[in-house]
Amino acid sequence: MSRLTDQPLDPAAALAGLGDAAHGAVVNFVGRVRGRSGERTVLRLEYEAYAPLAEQVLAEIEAEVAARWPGSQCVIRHRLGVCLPGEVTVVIGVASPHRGDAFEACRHALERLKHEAPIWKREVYPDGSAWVRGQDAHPTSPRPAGTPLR
Amino acid sequence: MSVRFLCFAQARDAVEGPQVELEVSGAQPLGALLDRLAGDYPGLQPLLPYCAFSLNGAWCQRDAVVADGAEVAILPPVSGG
Repeated sequence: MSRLTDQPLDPAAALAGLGDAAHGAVVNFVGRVRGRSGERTVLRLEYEAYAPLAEQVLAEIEAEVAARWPGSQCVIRHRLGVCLPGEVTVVIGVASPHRGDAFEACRHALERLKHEAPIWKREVYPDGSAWVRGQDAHPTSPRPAGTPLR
Repeated sequence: MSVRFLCFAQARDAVEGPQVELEVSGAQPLGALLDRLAGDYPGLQPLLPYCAFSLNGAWCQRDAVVADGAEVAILPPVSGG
């Protein structure tokens, strides 16, 4: 199943089928486009990805959650293309036997995605545009450590 | 004999397109090819120290040996989510 889509993301649909009666806790993260960036109005975000490697990284994160927090399941979906303010850009769901693991694993999955997945976004303003400042490689990442831009 | 470079985000802007073909004579370290590419596209020069790379779909370092027909991706610091 593709974890990347250029179609609107529906969190409920993305998370359908996550977990079962063994999972007493489900934590969902939904990321949306902010209409402001500092002092600037954001008209839209434009996402792009190196899709084959991004799919692989997201699959690795899902698998890591299941291995590191036993009994847990993780689902990740990410938007590509043009996203308007308020639109959903990323959905992460974690189902675990207990809440502590679900919260911790969901946060971990999001942070790892932000540091490792080869996905980029450009902010478009009324008077121009700019690539969003990239994240440095996560310490546990197979991605070679670089230095953040600027 | 050529190597294809896939360029994303700021790297795509620097080469003014999603990919670049570089003619090569035999297998060479990625670092040497990147130096040539930065010569052809000066806008890449300041960006490359901050980039990660993949060779035929797998993460790699600058000392990776790149053969004819290979596909290299130039991956600036990521900003997904």
